[in-house]
Amino acid sequence: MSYLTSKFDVLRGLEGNEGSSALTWEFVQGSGVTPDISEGTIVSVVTSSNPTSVDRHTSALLTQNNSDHPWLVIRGKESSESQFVNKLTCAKLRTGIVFKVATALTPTVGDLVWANAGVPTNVDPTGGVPHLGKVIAFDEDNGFMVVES
Amino acid sequence: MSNLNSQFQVMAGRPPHGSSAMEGNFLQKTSESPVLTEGMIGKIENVAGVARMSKLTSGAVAAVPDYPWLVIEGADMLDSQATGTIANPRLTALAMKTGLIFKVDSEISVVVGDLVWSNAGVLTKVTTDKQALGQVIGLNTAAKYVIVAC
Repeated sequence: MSYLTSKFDVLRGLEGNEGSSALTWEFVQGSGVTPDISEGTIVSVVTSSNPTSVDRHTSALLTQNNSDHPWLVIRGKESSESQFVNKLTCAKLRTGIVFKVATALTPTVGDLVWANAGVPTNVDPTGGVPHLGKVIAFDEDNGFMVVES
Repeated sequence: MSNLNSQFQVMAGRPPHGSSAMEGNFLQKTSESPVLTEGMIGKIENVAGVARMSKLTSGAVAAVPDYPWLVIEGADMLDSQATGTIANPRLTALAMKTGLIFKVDSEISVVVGDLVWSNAGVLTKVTTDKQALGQVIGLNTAAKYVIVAC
């Protein structure tokens, strides 16, 4: 939401707005993570990190077949606010959010969505892992999809 | 959150402004021992046709999904006792797994990223086949608290 040319936007559910539902929190970008994490990237908490930090997420099962805990970066390192506080602002997925994000894929409305190295995708990266959302709109001409989670 | 020596705090997601989690009030099930206090995890039970709250022990992953609630005003508080009865205090709770971050007194051995389940209402690290109700996103072993997102 910081780039004038960005296709990323949170359309519904952002905390603090009317009708809000999604949970937001700020995390540190993991040390040594390159390139910097930008808005629209899907991340997860790095195990044992201190301070608690995040890195790009690939959908997978966690301990004892429990599903993953992905977060959507809504203010990334490209924004000066993020650089100033050295934090990424994230919204917890699966808590009620609709977002628009650039994609090079050609998904169909209704496709399920996973994360692969931080990128939203309609392809299950490892097979049989829980999805994090569903495509509810796709604009091929402008190269973005709208995802509910 | 009214106990001065408590570290329990709902950090994000509480309605109406945090807005993620749903809030509800339930009478505690009779003869719960120990009673449900703030920071404990409860579930709703049918007791003679009436919804009552008792301590949750998470089920296996393949079992019927849990519907856990985080107690934010427990039986240890006067307002809970005053709005219910001594035998059945009225508990205020937030629905978990709907977008909630909370800090709670805990001495469990966990690291950031660990999943947690509820063992008789108390957070426990997932090491066996249990439905996780959240993920540890912060902790302070010296101050003996954990921060959980769910």
